[in-house]
Amino acid sequence: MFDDKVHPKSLDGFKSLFETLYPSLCLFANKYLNDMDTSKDVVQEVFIKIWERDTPYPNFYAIKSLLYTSVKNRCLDYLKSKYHRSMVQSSDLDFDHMVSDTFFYTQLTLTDTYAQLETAIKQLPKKSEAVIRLTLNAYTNKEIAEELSISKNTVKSQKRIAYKKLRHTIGSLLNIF
Amino acid sequence: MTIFRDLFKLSKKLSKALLENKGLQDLETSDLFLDDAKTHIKQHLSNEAIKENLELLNQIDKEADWKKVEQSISGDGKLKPRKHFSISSFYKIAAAILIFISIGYLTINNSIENEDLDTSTTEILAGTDKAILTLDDGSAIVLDEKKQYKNAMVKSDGERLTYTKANTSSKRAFNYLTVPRGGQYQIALSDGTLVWLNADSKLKYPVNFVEGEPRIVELVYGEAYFEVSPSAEHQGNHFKVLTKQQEVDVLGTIFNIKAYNDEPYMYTTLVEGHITIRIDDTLEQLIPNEQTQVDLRTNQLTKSIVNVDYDVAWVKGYFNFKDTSLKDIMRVLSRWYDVTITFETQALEHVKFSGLLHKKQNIEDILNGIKNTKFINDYDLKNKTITIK
Repeated sequence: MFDDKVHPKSLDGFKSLFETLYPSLCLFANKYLNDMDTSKDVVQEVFIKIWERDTPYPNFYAIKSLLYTSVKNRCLDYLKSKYHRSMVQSSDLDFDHMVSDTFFYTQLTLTDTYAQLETAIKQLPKKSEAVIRLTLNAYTNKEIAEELSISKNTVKSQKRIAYKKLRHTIGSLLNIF
Repeated sequence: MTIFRDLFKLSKKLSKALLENKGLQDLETSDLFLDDAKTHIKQHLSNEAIKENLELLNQIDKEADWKKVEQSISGDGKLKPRKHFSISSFYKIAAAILIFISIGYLTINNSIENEDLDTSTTEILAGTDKAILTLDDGSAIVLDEKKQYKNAMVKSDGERLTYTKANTSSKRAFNYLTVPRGGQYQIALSDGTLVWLNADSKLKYPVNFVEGEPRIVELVYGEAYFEVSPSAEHQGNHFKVLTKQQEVDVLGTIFNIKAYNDEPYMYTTLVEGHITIRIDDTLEQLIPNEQTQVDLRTNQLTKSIVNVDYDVAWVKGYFNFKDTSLKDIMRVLSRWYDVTITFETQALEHVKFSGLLHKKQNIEDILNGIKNTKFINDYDLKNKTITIK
């Protein structure tokens, strides 16, 4: 039982949910729509629907699954709509592929992987963040050192710091849900 | 629905592998995708693809877009009247989970910055490996992380006490292992059975088990996780765990018993194998993932199916809560951090949270995380007493 005092605050909870999942859901929608502005609109609509529905979900992973499924369905609805069909020439072959679960699961896995990477990297101190971003871009230590005007040894030590922290971050991420 | 859980798990593993510059082994061995899809995923986890997608993620202005959504859900400028109290617990749980996740991060961020800081004497520390061993003659030995101990029958490496099997076991001698609040300890009994003892727990056991008789130990109070050495290796001799209210009969299996004196219920959770529980004259058989809950006043037993991960997380260095009331969470924390926790507002005891905590985490990080959910107004920390306001 919750008293009135804690009530109005639940908007904060919804906001945290939005802030955590909105960017990755937009990225995900964009895999279907190939149009970031429409993707954002679709995801916002889904969030508003979820808020209005106001039904309880057992845990975070259930909400996350539901959000991905809802966004997918809305994207497919949009692609099926007359408006879209009249605007864009797309083959039925593409659409058949997009309707499949395989496409859904593949894009979900990719998007979530990108989002996990981004979340983990964002947790790093600024210097190691820059080093890790370049590492992901396949820069060698030497190239990173040149790019950031730091010594090769600093690159190495920043990498060590980053890996130590990332192990911890991802480690704890892995154990959630 | 479980496919989602598996997909999210896979993506976490993939991101980990990518950050560590390792191969995508988990994708190769996964049975979630056929080869075509695997190839597609691999192609889209190339350096270029990652760079492109992370940039896209960063270009999304979630603050600005939140304002749009917020406007739309709060109606046309005026505040929507609150729908009853049904404002779903889902947002609350969501918030709580998110907060717990960020606590995980908090710890990491703090860990480096705090490295040079001296720990102040008033600081409340997480529990450590420690226990008191009471020998048959009544003498007590303090065991902790930094100390090694050895006698003819038993040795300790600081975190685990290991008994060796004696050749002749005529005399029946008992030892006690008492784990204080703020402690935990492992013990390997002479038959090879492993027991993890949680904070504020006490186990009574024979130094050696008598051949041809059931192997009996007693959980005097507290929580213990057992990995019982199979009966087949002990001439079929059963293993029994006694608590005040019940007897658990085991052939060789993994289970957890939680039997604290200050809790209304006793829980027995089976992870692997098969056990039989006896209470008074009632027998109850458990299969894996089943849990019995016994009301300590009435001895009434109820059985349910649970996700055992939550019950045995403590053995692996975590606390894992799922829709757990703040009161129950605080009870667990108070044992591990050896603090007293009181609630100024009784209603808060029943607010539920889910989330995963590291046992090495600073308690103030946890409290701040809970405070940030806005479900509690504040907390007060004085002389090892925490007041939730």
